[in-house]
Amino acid sequence: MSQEQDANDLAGPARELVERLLNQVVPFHVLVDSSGRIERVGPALARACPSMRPGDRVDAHLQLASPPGASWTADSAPEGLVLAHASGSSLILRGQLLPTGAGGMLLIGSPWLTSTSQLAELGLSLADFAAHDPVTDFLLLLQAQSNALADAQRLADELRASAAEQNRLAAVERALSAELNALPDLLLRTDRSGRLIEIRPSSDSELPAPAHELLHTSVYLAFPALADQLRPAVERALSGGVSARSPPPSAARTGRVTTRPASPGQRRTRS
Amino acid sequence: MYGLVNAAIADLAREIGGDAAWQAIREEAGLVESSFVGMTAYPDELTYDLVAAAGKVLQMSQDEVLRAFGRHWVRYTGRKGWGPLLEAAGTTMPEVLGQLDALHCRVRLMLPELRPPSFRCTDVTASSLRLRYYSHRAGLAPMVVGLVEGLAELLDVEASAEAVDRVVDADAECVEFLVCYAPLRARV
Repeated sequence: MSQEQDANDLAGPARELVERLLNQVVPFHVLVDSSGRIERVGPALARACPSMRPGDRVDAHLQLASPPGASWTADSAPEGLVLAHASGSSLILRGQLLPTGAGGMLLIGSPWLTSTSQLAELGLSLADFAAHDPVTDFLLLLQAQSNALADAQRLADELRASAAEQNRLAAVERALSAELNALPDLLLRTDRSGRLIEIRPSSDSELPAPAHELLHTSVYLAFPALADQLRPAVERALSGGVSARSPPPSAARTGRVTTRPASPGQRRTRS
Repeated sequence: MYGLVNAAIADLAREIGGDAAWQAIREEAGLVESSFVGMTAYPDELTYDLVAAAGKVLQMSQDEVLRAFGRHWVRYTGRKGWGPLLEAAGTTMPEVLGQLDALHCRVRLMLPELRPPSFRCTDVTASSLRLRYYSHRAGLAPMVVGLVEGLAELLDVEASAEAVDRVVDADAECVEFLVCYAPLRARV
């Protein structure tokens, strides 16, 4: 057997191997002969463009849209990136043209997709893409970016609503504060446990000790003489928002003690 | 786990019991967050607490919550823009289940802290397959039953999954499911 015969014997299996690898590595490809007719179409491209068949003129199915002036002739084929638009379909192939010798060309590429919905429009599944093809990753990234933007918008909306609520509460607080400041009475604010968190005397003589020493102590300890009356009044105000009046603390010369709930999270005891 | 998982639990809770149920679950779980950011990683304990609280508030067992969550996960992610990708994963149960690892692999490129479970199909026939589920998180396997039900809904097929074997070691839980499916239903 001559060397030439050996080569011919190997041509068939070698060609099959190349074609099989080409199908797996670049499932979106089209091989064109020197006359501009399709020799073979990759399996995924054939699924996306079912009318594309061997023997057809390639320019009847795929138009080279970029770079300008690109054509399906070997001597004018662009060397860099090419975009090929499919006829009667939204498919755009992004890839490159490779000369195969004797005037033939091979277009290898991937669909240019910018939305996950295009997969269904083109009748493609994830299995149509080679495992190494980053198109699917690109789609995932785009979707993730879109979701991240939606999350950012939602958070911004929540922040805006929260700021508006804070402003509203601050306005209520200011109005209440102005109203209380105008009163000649001793003002005591406590938390739920009866701990003094604000003291506004009309004069220091109303207090059994300087205000800064009384802060954060129990109102019942600070004003022991009133503890029995204050406790139920504070409880009523905290639980039901009911106002109650109490006699002034012994240290106070004038005024009265009342309790009522203040703004959310804050409770006031007013004397 | 990433916020999308916790957000899906919140969505499921609202779907079952309204916003009041979700607020009760938040309170029961001691949740500080009022909402979740999908692509932010949260501690796993938070998700486990939410599942436990959901069971208590919605009066469901943990397994029932996880199964409902698995079913809901397919719908929820579909609504959040991932539906077309899941639909592109295949048109049959073996195709879609067979693509899950590849999908997770791609998602990990974007979410480096993602530690997804693994799904491997064996003994695939026209009406059944064996699905091996591996996860480094314990106790979440009942979710797979719901996941198969959710995918069946997506693919418009009848399907069920039943755990037939379970191996737990220090690093992972491996549960084998027998997944049965019927051909596509005739669409009206």
